[in-house]
Amino acid sequence: MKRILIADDDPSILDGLSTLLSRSYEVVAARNGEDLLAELERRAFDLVLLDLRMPLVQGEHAIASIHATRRTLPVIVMSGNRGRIEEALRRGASDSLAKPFGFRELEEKIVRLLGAPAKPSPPPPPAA
Amino acid sequence: MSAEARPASVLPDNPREDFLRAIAHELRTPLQALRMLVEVQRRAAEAGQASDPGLRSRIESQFERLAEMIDQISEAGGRRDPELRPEPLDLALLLRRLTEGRIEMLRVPAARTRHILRYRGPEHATTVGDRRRLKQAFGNILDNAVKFSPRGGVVELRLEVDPREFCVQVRDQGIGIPSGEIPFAARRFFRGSNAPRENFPGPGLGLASARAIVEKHGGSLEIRSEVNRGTCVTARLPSEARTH
Repeated sequence: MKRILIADDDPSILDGLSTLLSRSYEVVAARNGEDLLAELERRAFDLVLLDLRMPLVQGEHAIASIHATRRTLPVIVMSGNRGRIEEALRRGASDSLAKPFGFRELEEKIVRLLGAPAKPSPPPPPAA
Repeated sequence: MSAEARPASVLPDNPREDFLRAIAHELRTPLQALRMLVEVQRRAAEAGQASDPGLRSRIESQFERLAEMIDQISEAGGRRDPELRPEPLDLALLLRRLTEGRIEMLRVPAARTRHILRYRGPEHATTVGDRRRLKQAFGNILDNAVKFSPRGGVVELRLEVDPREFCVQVRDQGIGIPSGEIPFAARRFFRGSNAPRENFPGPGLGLASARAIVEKHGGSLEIRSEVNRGTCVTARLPSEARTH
């Protein structure tokens, strides 16, 4: 199962996104920029979903840190600010979502970057 | 004090644009949360799963958050005092439930940063006041305590009762407010010089609105703070109903 790191300081957004994505991916959540960078040091991820406005380390700086060592790791940025989205794309973000976005839009972007998620294994057949 | 004498952190460079951007962000955040939480609920219903009361209460909280923001924006825009609808209420129960609601809202199992929220105080404390507005005031103070404690930590809401007054204290272990700026912290649009908008979004209305609501109940608000040690906001409300 592919692993996604989500960073957003709003717990309700983080919880909703984690719940929805955890059906198809392994999800790790970070509530600030420091936790995001610490998680990236701790294990490998297939994709980062990043809110640009975060405490401790801003999204733009996080993109620079990510790409300094993991050039190919896709990053999707989330923001309500078009200017910041454009700046993040210039700095190497793979794609963007303008808040408030729908989950289907996010799913499509992830599939475009990672391919279709592995189907959950079917339940075992009932015992004879 | 004149506007010129205030510290720079109180006054943004482009106040109107800054304010409108902050408001737009404030409104988008609960809308985004609602879109995700409603989608979780829709998928659970499609899968034939039983309705989750915790999820329902999280959705309701986001609607309340939006309604409160609209009240704050409208009162700040018109420089109006909050309107009160006083009724008998149990302040201890209100504060306990508020804390429990915020604990539920902050629950993100996949996240490492944790806030420990707790209520300390009596089981019951009856008074007269506007239930919705007091919940809003103490909710704003609690939300600030969490927001400005980005590394997590303990946020304690304490209620003390004496014959003359109720003392409600919210204490955090967050980034604090520089000492020279504390006198301005409960003014509209305040932003501490150690809390840049890029990292800590918000229009700076929460604490000002809380103070207006507490004062409208005949009470007062006091702030003590130390940078990188935390902030303690104390609201004193008269035990006799004196809403005005």
